[in-house]
Amino acid sequence: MKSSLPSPATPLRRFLVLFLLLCLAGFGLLQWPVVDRVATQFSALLVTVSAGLIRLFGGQVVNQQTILRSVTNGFSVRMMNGCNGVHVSVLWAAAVLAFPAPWRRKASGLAAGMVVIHSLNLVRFLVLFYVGQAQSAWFDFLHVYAAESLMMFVTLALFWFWAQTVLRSASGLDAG
Amino acid sequence: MRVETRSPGGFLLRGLVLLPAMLALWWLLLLHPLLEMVRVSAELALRALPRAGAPTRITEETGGDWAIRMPLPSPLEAAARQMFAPSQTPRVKTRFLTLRLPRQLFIRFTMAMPLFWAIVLAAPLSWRTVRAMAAGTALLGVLALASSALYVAHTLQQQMPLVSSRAGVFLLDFSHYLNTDALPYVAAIVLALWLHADLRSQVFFRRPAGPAQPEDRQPARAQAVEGRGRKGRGKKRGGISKGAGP
Repeated sequence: MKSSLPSPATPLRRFLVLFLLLCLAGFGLLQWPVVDRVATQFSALLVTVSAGLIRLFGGQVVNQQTILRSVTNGFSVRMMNGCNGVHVSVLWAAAVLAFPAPWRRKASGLAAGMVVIHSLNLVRFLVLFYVGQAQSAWFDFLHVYAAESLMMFVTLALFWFWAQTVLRSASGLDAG
Repeated sequence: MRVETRSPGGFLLRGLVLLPAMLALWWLLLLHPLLEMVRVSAELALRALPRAGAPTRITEETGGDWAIRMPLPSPLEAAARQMFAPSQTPRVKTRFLTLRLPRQLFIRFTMAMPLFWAIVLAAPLSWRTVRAMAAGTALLGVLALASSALYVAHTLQQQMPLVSSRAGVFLLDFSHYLNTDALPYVAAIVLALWLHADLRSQVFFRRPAGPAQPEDRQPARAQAVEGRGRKGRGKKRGGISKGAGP
């Protein structure tokens, strides 16, 4: 079975160049108005899902497009494009696509990673919504610094896990 | 001293403890000194510009925002005259301008540091950790300065046309977007992987399934050995195969 993995002499340099190019392409794509509109619709979908989850557990909220508002105290948050996980998704996609792995592995890694990232982002959004109501002084710190850093850290650990899975699988194929 | 972190799970658990600790350290103790370093460095850099003089300075206002008083770039002189003093005679020149910028942006440019520290400390600890921490923190400091300069350039562009071509405007806007929305997060990860050889080795290379092999203690050297002496074998097997046991 032919592997698409390269020789060990070049992979890191190749990975880094490809990763940065794919990041630039991905972030550039997000600047395109059509993609921007799709991302906004995606934010609206996430807000709808968040509102549904809150109502499921007895909370009282209303959602309108990308805005989620508490009925009890009027606190509201708007999910902007940076908050909907698309930036982390671009980084994840760039890292997975740049890594020397068979395409089947890349596809499954992309899909699984997106599910984890967006699930985590949904939890992040819900936590921020409640923190904003309870401790508004902490909202900015958690929103801009802590939650984003945590997302990036988890994504790096996820990538490490996925890369090792790919490498072990390649090793298994070779041994077989 | 060496603490082994051989799995992404261990790395994640250590990171979940270290990241809040590093964020607290940064926010409560180090943020003010870091911002002061960025402010003073930026002021020194501005003073090195042509036509800069004593009025060139960066001060923190009572609300925390930064007031940057800097020499007006030559291409903007005509635009500034039109904007600020259209009725003045041509002999009156606007030589300096003051920009008031939110402190939050400058905080954002240093936020890669706690993430970087958490990643490096959650990775395998060795003497390389100290070197990676020092080099990475210094590089992130330089990056914060460059990000601040780009932010100032973009703010100027919003007020007066610093760049007129469409490509130039797009490049400046796109750089600003990357600068504020992507770089603060990506820089920490890329630098950690670049500077910390043990972390890089564990993320990108195949690890032996059994107990630690001697090669693991010197990843960079082991990689070189693999690249030269076992080149043929590596090609035949495929994959990124540094440090694999016999």
